[in-house]
Formats: sequence, structure tokens, C-alpha cells
Amino acid sequence: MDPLLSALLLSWDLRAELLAILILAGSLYTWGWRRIRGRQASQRPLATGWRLAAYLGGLITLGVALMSPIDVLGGQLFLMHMIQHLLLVMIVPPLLWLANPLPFYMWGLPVPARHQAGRLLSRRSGFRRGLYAVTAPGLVWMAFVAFLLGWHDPTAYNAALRSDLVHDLEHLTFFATAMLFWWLVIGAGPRLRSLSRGARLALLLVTVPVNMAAGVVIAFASQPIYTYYTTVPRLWGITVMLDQMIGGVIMWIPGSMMYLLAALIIISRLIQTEADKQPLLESEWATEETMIAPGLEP
Amino acid sequence: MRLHRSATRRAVNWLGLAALLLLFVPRPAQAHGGGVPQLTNAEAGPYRISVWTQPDPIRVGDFHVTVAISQAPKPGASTREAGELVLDATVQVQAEPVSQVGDTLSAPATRDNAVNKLFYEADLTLPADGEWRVDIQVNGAAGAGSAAFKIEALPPSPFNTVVGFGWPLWAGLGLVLLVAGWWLQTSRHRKSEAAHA
Repeated sequence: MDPLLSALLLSWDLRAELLAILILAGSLYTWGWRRIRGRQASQRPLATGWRLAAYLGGLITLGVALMSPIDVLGGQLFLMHMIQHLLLVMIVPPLLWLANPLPFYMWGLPVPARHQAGRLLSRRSGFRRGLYAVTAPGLVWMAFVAFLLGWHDPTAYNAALRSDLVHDLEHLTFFATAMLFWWLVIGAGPRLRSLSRGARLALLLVTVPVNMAAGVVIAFASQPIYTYYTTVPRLWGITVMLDQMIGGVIMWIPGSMMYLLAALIIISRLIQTEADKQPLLESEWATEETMIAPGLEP
Repeated sequence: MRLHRSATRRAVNWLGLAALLLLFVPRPAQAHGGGVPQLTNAEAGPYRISVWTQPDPIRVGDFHVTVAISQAPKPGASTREAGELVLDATVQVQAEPVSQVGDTLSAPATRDNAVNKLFYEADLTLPADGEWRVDIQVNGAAGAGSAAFKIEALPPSPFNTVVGFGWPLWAGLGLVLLVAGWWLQTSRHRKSEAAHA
């Protein structure tokens, strides 16, 4: 194997604190999933195999994004950093929310802790009220977009590459705001705010131009925006400008595709709901009054 | 007896939680290739070297050096051939005080030490503030070369001292708080039980 490639494949940054979080979250969910599966009714089961697969897949993707050579190479190749952000913002949060983690977490906890957690989410709790306040759709969208654009500012981006602490902060804010954003879009529990499908669709569609604009600006820039990359050795002959262009295209096209894909799923659900509605009986609409003045019949 | 058992259980839960939280305490700065660029493609005999350092600003104490070595571009070589990374060199980092008298520090920079296995990394401990000259010596199949740069180490900051002793300090503080919380909770239970009796 090419020594460069084999060196890259060995570049894993296994971080104890991240591994602990991933193992804890995975164990809690799996334990709850097993307990619910043992008790659930056979019709419309909650603990399905695809939910477990989505959750564990989300956790594994999160681990890969933050500890694999993708993370390590992000300091050398802008395009790798964009792939990492794509995973953190557009792949991991939808996977985790599609798995509907709340009931599984609750059932994964020991009984006293489950009661405590239940109290936290009760209608009178300050925690729930605080969570309700910070998940106002406008606020979530603003925060999501502000961090998305803010961290792509050259000063902030270069600072993140210079300091591990700032880099961690960048990923934490990206991930946290993406989790809030996709929570509203997917509508998983706890449903503090139940948005209509139209509102979820709007939330997705107003994000596309922002993401697209940032990607286009980066892809078509005529000089290096992120000067840190001019100080690192290039790999496989990928120049700083080519790297920047590919990174911008990754943000622009696959990045926007994820929002559009989610929007298409919501549209198909809307159409399905309309199609599932029972047609009115002929006797209800074929009366003489209705035919003469539809909508104005007594 | 029942109160005693539930209080013990609660204490164990709290301690477990504290132990878990300790895992999430950020580790001391452990760079993986990032840092402040000190040299960019500097000539070092038959090589070109790039060097980054952490922390920023540099202070007395831990000093992390990351080195990338590439071959010097051959005249007329294509972009792909130029600057190919060198992965089998021996690298030594030396830090010598400039503005004061003191011993020269030396440590090997290796790929084993590095998270990014394309780079060589070394850790030194700067004993005094002031100006330091850092010399990077490279030995490899193409020959030997070296390059140097100067840094200014600042005195240790009180904040860094607190963070540097973070593990025992914060763990101790957390434990004291947890024990205090547990004591308050059990004493409140005892009082309410006595009132009911």
C-alpha cells in the first residue's frame, strides 16, 4: 500500500471523553430498545430494527466524523473539513432523531432516574419551559444559520485550525444547533412544539439558499480564503485553490441536496395524507344546492 | 434503615455521575497537527519543513511542536512530485534559551507521537520565560538539514495554573459539592421524617 495512504489510515484521534459519550448513549438507547421490544404490542411497534440501526448508525457516523482520519486530515485539506461538517450537520442529527431516542432513553434508565428525567420534562418544570423558549423555530433557524455562516468567516475558521479548543467549540456549536434544527424538522419526541408539515417545509427551504450561497462564494473565490491551508503541505498534488473549490462544491451541492431531500419527503407525506382522505359521498356533494352555488349551500 | 439504604444509593449514584463527568473534562492541550505556523516550507538541506507550535501564546510549561517534512522540489518537477512528504526521517527538536542562561532542551519528534501520522511531533517543557531559539534537525535518506525559529515564552498565567491542575482541582471541588448536596438532601429527609413521626 502507498505509505502516504497507510499513514493516513492510521491517523485516528481516539478521544476518551468522546468514546465515553458515544458508548454511554449507545448503551442507554440499546438497553431501552430491548426493554420496550420485550413489552410492546405487535401492531405499530415502537422498537423497530430500523430505529436501532438509525441510532447506532448516527453514533458511528459521529465517531467517524470526530475521530477518524477525516478529522485529522481536516487540518490539511479543506474538502475533508467540509465532509466532516456535512456529516456533523446533515447526516448525524437526522439519523439520531429518526430513531426517536426519548422513549428509549427513558426505558434505558433505572426507575428512579427515569422518574427524575420525567419530572424534568413535565409541563411545570423550568427545564421544559427553558427548552421551549430556545426552540422557537425562528430562533433555532437564526442560530443554525449564524453558526453555519459565522464559522466560515476566514478569521474564525483559521482560529479553529490553530487551536484545538476553538475547533472543538466550532464542532459543538455546529452539532448542537443542527440537532435543534433537525429536531423541529423531524418532529421527534419530546414534541414541545408541533410544527405543521408546511412549517417544516418552509424551515428547510429557507435554509437552502443560505447554504448554497456560502458554497458558491467559496467554490468560485479567486484566491485562498482560508490562508491556514497555504501553510500546510499539500497532499496528492491538490493545490490550495483546487481544494477550496472542491470544498465549496461539497457544501453547495451535497449539502443543499440533504435539505431538498428532506423537503421532498415532507411533500410526499403531504400528498399521501391528501390521497388517504376518504372522498365525500356523492349524496353530500351532488345536491341541487351544491351544484348551483358550491360552498354557499346552507 | 430504608432511608439509610436510599441515601447510600443516591450517594453512589452521585459519585458515579461525578466519575462519569470527570471523563468529559477536557484533556491537557493535545494538538493533532494544528497550532501556530512558525515555519512554512523553510529550506532545511534537501528538505522543506513546516513547523507549528502550541499553545498560543507560548508560556512556561508544556510546549508542543509539530513538524512536516517534504522533499525539496526538483527543478522542472510537476506539482504532484514537488514537496512529497518524507515519512522516514529522524527528527530532533532543540530549544535553547537566548535571552537568559540555561540548559538546552532536546526531544525527538516522531510520527508515533503524532495523531496525524504524516507529521512528526515532540513535547518539551519550557522552564523559563523569555526568548528561545528552536532548532529542528532532520536526518533522512536524502541527507541532513536543519532550520530554526525564535519564540517568546511568556510567564505562566494564573488561569493556566488553574486549568493545568484541572483534574485534581475540579474533581475535588466536584466531590465536595456532591457530598455537600448529598448531606443536605439526607438531612432534609431526616427532618421531614422526624416531623411526620
